[in-house]
Amino acid sequence: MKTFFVYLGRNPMFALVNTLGLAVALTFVILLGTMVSGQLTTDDFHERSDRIFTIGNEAWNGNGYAVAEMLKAQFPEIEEVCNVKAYPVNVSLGSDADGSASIATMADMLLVGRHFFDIFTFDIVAGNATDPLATNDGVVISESYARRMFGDKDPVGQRLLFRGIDSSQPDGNKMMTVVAVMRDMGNTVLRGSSSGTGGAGREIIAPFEAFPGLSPDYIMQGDASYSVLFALQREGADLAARAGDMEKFLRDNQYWIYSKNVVKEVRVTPLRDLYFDMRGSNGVLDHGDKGRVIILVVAGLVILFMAVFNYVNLNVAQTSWRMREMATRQLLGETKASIFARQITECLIVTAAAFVLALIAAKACEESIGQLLGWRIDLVGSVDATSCVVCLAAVAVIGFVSGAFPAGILASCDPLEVARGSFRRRTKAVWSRVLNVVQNGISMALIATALFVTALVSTIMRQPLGYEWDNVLVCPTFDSMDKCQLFKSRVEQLPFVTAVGFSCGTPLDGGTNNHFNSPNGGRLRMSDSQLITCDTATMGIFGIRPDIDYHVQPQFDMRTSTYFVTPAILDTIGLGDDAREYYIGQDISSSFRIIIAGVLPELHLGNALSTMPPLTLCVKRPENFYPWHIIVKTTGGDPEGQRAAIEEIRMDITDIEGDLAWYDDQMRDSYAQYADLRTLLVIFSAVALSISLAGSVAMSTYMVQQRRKDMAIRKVFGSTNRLEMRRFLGSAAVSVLLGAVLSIPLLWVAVRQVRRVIDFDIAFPVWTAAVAIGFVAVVSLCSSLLVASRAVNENPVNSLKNE
Amino acid sequence: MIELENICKTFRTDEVATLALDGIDLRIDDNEFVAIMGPSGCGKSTLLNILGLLDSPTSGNYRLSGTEVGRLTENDRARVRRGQIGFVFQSFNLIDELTVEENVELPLTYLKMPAAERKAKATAMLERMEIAHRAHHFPHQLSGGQQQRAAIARAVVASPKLILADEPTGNLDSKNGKEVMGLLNELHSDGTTIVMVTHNAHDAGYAGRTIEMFDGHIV
Repeated sequence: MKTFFVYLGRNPMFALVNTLGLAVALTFVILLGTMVSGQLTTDDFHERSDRIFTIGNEAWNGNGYAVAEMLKAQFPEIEEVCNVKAYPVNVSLGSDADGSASIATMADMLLVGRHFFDIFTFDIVAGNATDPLATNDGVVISESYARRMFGDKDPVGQRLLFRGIDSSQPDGNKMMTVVAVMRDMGNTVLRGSSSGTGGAGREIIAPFEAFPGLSPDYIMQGDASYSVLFALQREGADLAARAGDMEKFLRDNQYWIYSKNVVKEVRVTPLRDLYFDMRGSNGVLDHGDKGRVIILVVAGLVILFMAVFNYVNLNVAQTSWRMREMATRQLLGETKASIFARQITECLIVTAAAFVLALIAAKACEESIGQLLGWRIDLVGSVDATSCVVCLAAVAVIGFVSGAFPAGILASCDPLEVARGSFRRRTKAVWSRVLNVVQNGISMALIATALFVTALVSTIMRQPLGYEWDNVLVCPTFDSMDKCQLFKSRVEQLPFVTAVGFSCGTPLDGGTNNHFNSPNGGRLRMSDSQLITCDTATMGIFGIRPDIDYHVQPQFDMRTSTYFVTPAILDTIGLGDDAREYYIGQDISSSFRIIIAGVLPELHLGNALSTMPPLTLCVKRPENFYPWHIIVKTTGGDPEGQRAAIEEIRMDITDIEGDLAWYDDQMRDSYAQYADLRTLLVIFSAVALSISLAGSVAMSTYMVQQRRKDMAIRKVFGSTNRLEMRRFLGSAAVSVLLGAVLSIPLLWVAVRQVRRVIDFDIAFPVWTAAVAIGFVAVVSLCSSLLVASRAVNENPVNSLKNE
Repeated sequence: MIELENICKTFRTDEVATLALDGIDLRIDDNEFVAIMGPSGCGKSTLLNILGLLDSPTSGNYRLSGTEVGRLTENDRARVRRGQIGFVFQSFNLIDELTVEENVELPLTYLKMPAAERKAKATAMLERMEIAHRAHHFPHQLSGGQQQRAAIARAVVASPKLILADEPTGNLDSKNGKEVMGLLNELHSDGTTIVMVTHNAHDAGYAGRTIEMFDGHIV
């Protein structure tokens, strides 16, 4: 071992490139591995995880509230059911009778059935652990929420005031008592996507029954995606096999989504499959995109592959220096097997050192990388016997794989050559050249992919959606109409505000998802739309101008409402562009009249990648509806200052915190996962390029060493420094060229995978490949030039003398 | 052909300066065969490197065929070497990755000779050295004697006026050594000037003149 460490000490660049290159790659593999293993074992910790299922349909994972009990009564395979609904709520400390002593802050609440803690295994760490949801005024809170709200005080028995949630109370508030504290949610789909990257999961668990207004017991006309229906399968039963019977049962019982053929299937999904299930669940279930995970894992493995390649490459390179040592050892009695084992051991030591460095680096950047990955990475929390065994096995495999090839070379050297003094350092380095070509190809493909994603995301973000959103601030509503009006009138007086409007929904978030019947032509036709209700000021703020405007005055009358429709809606209903009215309703006799105020141009709801139903805009007078949002248009200029001024007015009017957000930021946030993917790919590319560069430097150094004598002989017989440099760079250029050829199929595969994840079609910009290839070529050739220049300029006498 | 005047060569490291050649004055005429002898470290090889324009003197004058070449740049030295000087080394110094024929062609490529002409000259030279049957072999497939024949073929293929040989028989057995010396003698008979460094008095016997060196001086 001593000679090995002396060798490393004399070749610090080799040691650095060898260890750090591998450590950087391992850092990413550790982080990605932790994420992927976490995603693949989501919800494994529940004692009954293999018996927990959701019951939904092929389009979304949710059901009407009352469906749960109906199915439980009908199907003996179901042992227990539990509805779960995400319900963000404003909560203040309930120490004072009206809670006015503290500002209400938003809490992430799950409304659940009473058997929630019987079905799921979430540890209760304080308070009533046996039946925490038994009462209608008790809630369970998480440990971190308890700390946030009560500090060091014992949270059990403390009171919390839930604001604007109880329609039976004049002020809408309801006082609840903390009956238990649960450990922060771990690796579960119920954790909530908003807290997925760093939060501690849901903060409050409360029974539906505590808020009668939030547990509608109707199903026929009810919201069919109201809550996620969890069912606990009876031991030994096969609930999934009864999906067809459930569908028939619900259809026979006139559950409208089946009786009106909105959906066709009942889908029973195991809890463990939910993370990669992309159906909507109204924010109850956290989920991840399998395609995106595949891209990241492939990128991570590619980097590991490159690093190990590099490692092998460097080890092969160093064999030429260490052959003399190994041959001498053989002369002195060491066996080939022992030399082989020695080299493997040395590689294992370096791999282990790189792994330790990688662990330290991964721990240091787990939070920031976790945010980019959209997954909370907890390295310490992931340590268990399995992960330890996997890590040790990985170190052993990488160490062995990277050591075996050079070990074979070292063990095969002929000690007689040393004895004769005719020993020569000879390795053709064919493999090293191949590895160099592969590294160049991979770097080019990764950089081109990152550039492609950058171009793609940039194109998507610039995509016109049919309306304007510059300098638009979206403000949350208030708990009374008077406050809304007061806020509006005060904000309108600000000098930088040009308009204030009310709306229920925005083009980005959508509005109400409506399935309705239109009895046109004497028969019912099912239609689907996103309904946004707003005043004319909001229309103006978003620059929504009808293509056809009949100048109908906005009015508020359930029997005669005023609507702007899009051509897609008219097409769905089967009406021409000149239609002035249509009817909707459950049947022809009870239908009510819609006055068409005009036809809008097509607006794309959501972001450019969303697939929401077409828009119907219901325009009302601002005093005639209760808004979800108050939309403010400003002159622009100082976004932070303007937002602060408007927020100040808001906090003057209410003590409930709210999030005032610029529409532009919301739009950008809606693309966050794609922007993060782009950032990750850029990071991966930079790492790949660094590893490739290090590999190129090492390779060039090695090649230069190999060719020193060759160069010297050529110079003795008339070659010049310039000719030798040209010859050396020509060889490097061939590697780059072959790498470019290799990068094309790799890029094709990568772009195809990206297109699967980001469903937006643009022609592949050829410049991305050209820039990537050019960049890697320049970097590679420059590194070769730098490394070779010294050797090329060396006096041939020295090179020949050293041989 | 060669005129050296007060040539000195000093090698410097961070700690020490070593005077390898100390005021060498030497004249070698055309078609002369000169042997340089002396103990290890006396400066024989350094002198040979300077004569071959592989190295430059620290001071002094060196005229080759009447032209001062002691202070040429490295590129200019390379240009003078092309076609004028041939080298034969103790350890042959053939390029392992090239065949024997390609090795022999090497000096001609720097003279920008057409490929066909190069090949013809190389083949002829290999035939003359009686190793044409090994033309397409790589150096490691040849015996030591054959490698040195190939090296001599390479040294003379461009018809240089001067051949510098650094212990050309040092790695050969007596039979092969004798053959190599015979070849050099033959070249000398054809009019080539030869300067040879050797430890071997027998080999030195082939030379018309022997120069003895000691501690950087000609004695």
